[in-house]
Amino acid sequence: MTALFELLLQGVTLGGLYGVIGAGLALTFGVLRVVNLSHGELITIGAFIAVGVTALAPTVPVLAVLVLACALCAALGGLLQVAFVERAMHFRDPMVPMLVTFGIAVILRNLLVETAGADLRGLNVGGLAQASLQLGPVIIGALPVVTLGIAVVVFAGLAAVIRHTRFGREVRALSDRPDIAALMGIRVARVHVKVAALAAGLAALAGVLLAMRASVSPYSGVSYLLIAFEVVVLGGLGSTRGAFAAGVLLGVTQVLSAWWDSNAGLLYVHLVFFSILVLRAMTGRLS
Amino acid sequence: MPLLELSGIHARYGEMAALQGVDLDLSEGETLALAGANGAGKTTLMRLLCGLMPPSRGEVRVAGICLPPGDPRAAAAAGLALVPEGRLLFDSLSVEENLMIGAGARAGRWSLKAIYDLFPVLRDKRTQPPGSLSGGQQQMVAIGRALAANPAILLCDEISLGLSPLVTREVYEALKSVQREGIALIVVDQDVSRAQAISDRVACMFQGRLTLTGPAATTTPQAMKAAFFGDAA
Amino acid sequence: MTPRAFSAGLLILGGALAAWSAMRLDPGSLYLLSEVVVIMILAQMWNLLAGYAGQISLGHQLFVGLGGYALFLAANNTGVPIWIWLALAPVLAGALAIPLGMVVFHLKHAYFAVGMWVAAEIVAALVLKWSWTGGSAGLILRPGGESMTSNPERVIFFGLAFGLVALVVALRAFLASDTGLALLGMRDNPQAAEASGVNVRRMHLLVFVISAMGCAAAGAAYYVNALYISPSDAFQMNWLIAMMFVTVIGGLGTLTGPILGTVLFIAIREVMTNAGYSGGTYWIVIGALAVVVLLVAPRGLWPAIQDLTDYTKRKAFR
Repeated sequence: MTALFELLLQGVTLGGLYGVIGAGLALTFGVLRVVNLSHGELITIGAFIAVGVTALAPTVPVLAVLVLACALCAALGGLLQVAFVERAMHFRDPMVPMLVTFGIAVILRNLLVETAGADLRGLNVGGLAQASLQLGPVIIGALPVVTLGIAVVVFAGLAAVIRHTRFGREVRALSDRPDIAALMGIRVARVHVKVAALAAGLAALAGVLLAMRASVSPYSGVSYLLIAFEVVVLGGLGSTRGAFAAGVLLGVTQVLSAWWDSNAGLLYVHLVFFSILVLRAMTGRLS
Repeated sequence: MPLLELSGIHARYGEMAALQGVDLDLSEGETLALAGANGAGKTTLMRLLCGLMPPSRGEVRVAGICLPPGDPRAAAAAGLALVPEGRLLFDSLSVEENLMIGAGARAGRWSLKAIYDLFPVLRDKRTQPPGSLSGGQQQMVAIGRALAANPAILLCDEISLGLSPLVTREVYEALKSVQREGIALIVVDQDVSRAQAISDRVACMFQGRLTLTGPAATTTPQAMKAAFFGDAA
Repeated sequence: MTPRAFSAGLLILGGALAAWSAMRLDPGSLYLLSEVVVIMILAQMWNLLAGYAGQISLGHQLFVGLGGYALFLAANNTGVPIWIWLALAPVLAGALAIPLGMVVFHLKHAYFAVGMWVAAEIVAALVLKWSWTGGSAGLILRPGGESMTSNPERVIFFGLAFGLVALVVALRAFLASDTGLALLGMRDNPQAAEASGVNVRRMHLLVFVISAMGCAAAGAAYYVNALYISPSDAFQMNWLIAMMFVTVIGGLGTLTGPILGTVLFIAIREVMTNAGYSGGTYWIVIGALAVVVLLVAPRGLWPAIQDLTDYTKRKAFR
């Protein structure tokens, strides 16, 4: 009973992080209409910034490391948007920005390999990794609870920003009708940069938390990108709640399948996704 | 000096010429009914005026100042606002948010309260998504959204398309209130006589050119019809 | 010169050149040249789908691996000569591509790209798990259970090079045919093509299956040359990256573009490896090249060169 509960908690926690990754990607896709293939690299770069900072200055508190990684990645995401993606978007052909982000992904991935090496790295969070909580008869690890808490808070915050702020209003208007939004005097390019930075920050946040849970290598970005895609496709564009639910479905699938088939990797996650995708496509419920 | 001046405007979609030398001006507070068959270039002219597409030749001046081509923000700041064909409201935004999104482009008197005073029915629907409103109410949101930017010139494309006669009359009543505020109007309507009735002048387009401009009061339906089919110059 | 005479000339010339190189060059050069031709074929196949059918696949590494594994499994478990399996491996991959295509063509644009990618990951994971496919250890080529007695690189190179020439000639003819023109019309205006009676679905499926078979043939030939195949190599993302970058740099939707792109791709690699740069640095350079080309000449280098020569020609005549 405790084991199953622990497993489910692990799955939901992992799923929450998947949801965060997917929400960032959905935001860029919804507002920029760009399939951002470098999203996975921002996740690993976030994780590696945290690993690097902790190695250089072990006394810095975990929370500060997390904030720093998010801020740096957000800046990087905004910079990439201004320098490359926004320019590529001028060509009107959606293939061009998508291919540009693919080029950026390859560059970032290999820059990471060149600077940090190709090894798997984990993030040491000291006592937090061993700490546990007692919930009635069940004892559970503190780290998954904290991680899940952060994911939930981030989701609630994101939904509130989209729902209630001027920025959120502009984001929704842009993803509804980009040309009419421009007509309304919205500074479109500026919103694009903000969205790219926000998505990159979310990616980094998830990356750091994933590195606390298990190791990350510079090549992990590709599989995270694929998971982010799966979350976006399952959860629907522009739906933060959908992203969370889709993330949880995939996370629980991964943890449960790893439990009964230890070397399955992401096989069952992909199978679940592919089946749902095909079912939906066959029944015509796919945009 | 006229408020809006178009000189030698050409525009094209790829190989296809959509506008071929349009010269037109509009004074402050004046209303122009723009007629023409489908594909004559009315919508292209509207889109071009509000910066959604750049002219391939020619220039648009507002109060004597040349507009940068293809820049919707600059067009909004200069005082041009569009009520697009098919309304094109933001479905993810509530009615009130739709009205708020354009605010701030220019200073002026069109606060939320002023728009609700013009269209009282919208006040009760402020939190609803525009998709739940009737066609006429949606058109009011579209007009209100454009007014929120405090325009000097309001461009209304196919203003009565898909609306019942009763609602159309309501929309035209609203346009008259807009006129009373001193805002210039360009109105495109399938039913030319209806637009003509509230206009100072009429203009007719044929194959990307203006084939007729004249005072609304004295231009006969026969003359309009001839210009509509390109018979008059 | 008529197009037919041009095609025949190209075939004869290409065949002669391939045969001469296959007989006279040393094994090291042949191995490198084989790789060049493999990438050219892969890029042509990816380009057929992306550049002419407008569908970007992120899962084409699937067909490279499928071709290789089909050949290894068939050759190792039967006494039939590998040359026959080399011809049949693409047919097997094509047969698998039909049901896959019928499924993924329900998906559009980004969904198609992701659907293909997930399909590739699923197959790779299955090959990695199953013991009859050799698992993560992979397979050594042992036709009929025997070790290979001779190195196949001369025949393989001839087959690949002649195959590439034949492929380009066939694609030229195809694109000039009614079917090919319908395909181009479909890319530029799907609604209009649909309205004019072109069966978009069947056409996409045809192109998809051809594309899969070409990749499988190239993959099978490549891994026969290597004598060894493993899932982490055969289904790796780098195959896709090569196809995409080569096509994008050379020119999407052109037949010359992928050829030009491959030459650059391999030339830069050889120069950088000889100068002692790491693989990572090489990929950074290639990625940067792709980004720069996309931002400066989004249709690729070959169309840009054509525009440039057209321009100078026009100037010269003035």
